[in-house]
Amino acid sequence: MRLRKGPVRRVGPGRFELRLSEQERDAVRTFGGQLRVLLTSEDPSSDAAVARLFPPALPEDDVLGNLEYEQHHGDELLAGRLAALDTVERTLGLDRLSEDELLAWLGSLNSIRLVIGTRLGVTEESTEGDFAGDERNAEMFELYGYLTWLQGWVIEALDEELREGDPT
Amino acid sequence: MTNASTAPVEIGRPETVEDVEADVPWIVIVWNDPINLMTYVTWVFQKLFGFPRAKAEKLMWDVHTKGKAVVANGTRDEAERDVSRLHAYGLWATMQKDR
Repeated sequence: MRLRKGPVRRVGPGRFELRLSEQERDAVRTFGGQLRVLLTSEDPSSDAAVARLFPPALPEDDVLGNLEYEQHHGDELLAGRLAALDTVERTLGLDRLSEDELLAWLGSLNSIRLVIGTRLGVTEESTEGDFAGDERNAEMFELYGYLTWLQGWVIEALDEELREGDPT
Repeated sequence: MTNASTAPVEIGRPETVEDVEADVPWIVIVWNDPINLMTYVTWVFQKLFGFPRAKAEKLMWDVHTKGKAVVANGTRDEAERDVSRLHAYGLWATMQKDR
C-alpha cells in the first residue's frame, strides 16, 4: 500500500494546494449543505448540537447577561459561519486556495465536527467500537473521523503559514 | 480536546461569580471540550492573541489537563470581544469578573 500524501499543503506564502478526490469533495459539500440547513432553520439554538456553535458567554445563571450577549453577537457569529460555508461551496472544485479561503474551510470543518461530535456525544476516548451497534451512528463516526483527519492537515498547512510569517 | 493518546478530561462548567465592584477587571476562560483538536486550539491562541507558540501550547495544555485556562483579561467590553472571537472559532469560552 502506498502512503497517501497530505490532502492540503502550503505551496507558498498565502497559497495552498488542495488534493481531494471527488468523493471527498462530495462529502464536504453534503455536510456543508446540511450545516447550512441547520443554521438557517427557524430557531437554530433549539437544537443542542447547533447550540454548541453559540455557547453562552457568561455563567449560566446570568440569564440576562447571556441574552444580551446573544443579541450583540448572535447575528455576527451566524453570518460568519454562513460566509465561511459560501466560500467552501464556491471553492469546492478548486485545487489551489488562498489563505482566506483555507481559513473558511478550517472554520466550516470545525463547525461541522462540533455539530456531529455533539450529536454523537463523542468523548476524548471515543472509538469506533462505541458506535458499532448502530449503523447510522457508526457511519457518522467514521465521517467524523475523516473530517478530523482533514482538519488536522488544514491546521498543519496554516500552522506553517503562521510560522513562516512569525520570526519568534 | 481530542488526541487519541490522551486521557479524558471532564468538561468544565463556569463557576458562579457574585456581583462585585464595576471596576473589577474581567477574565476570559477557555474550557476543555472533547471535539476541538489540540493543534487547533494552539493555533487559535496564536492567531487570535498573537501569543508565541510556547505560550499558546502551555495554555492549550492547561485547558486540556486542568479543564480550563484564563487566556485574556481586561474591561468587560474587551472580554466580550475576545469571547465572541473565540466563539467564532468554535472554542468554548466564557467571561467573568476576576476576584
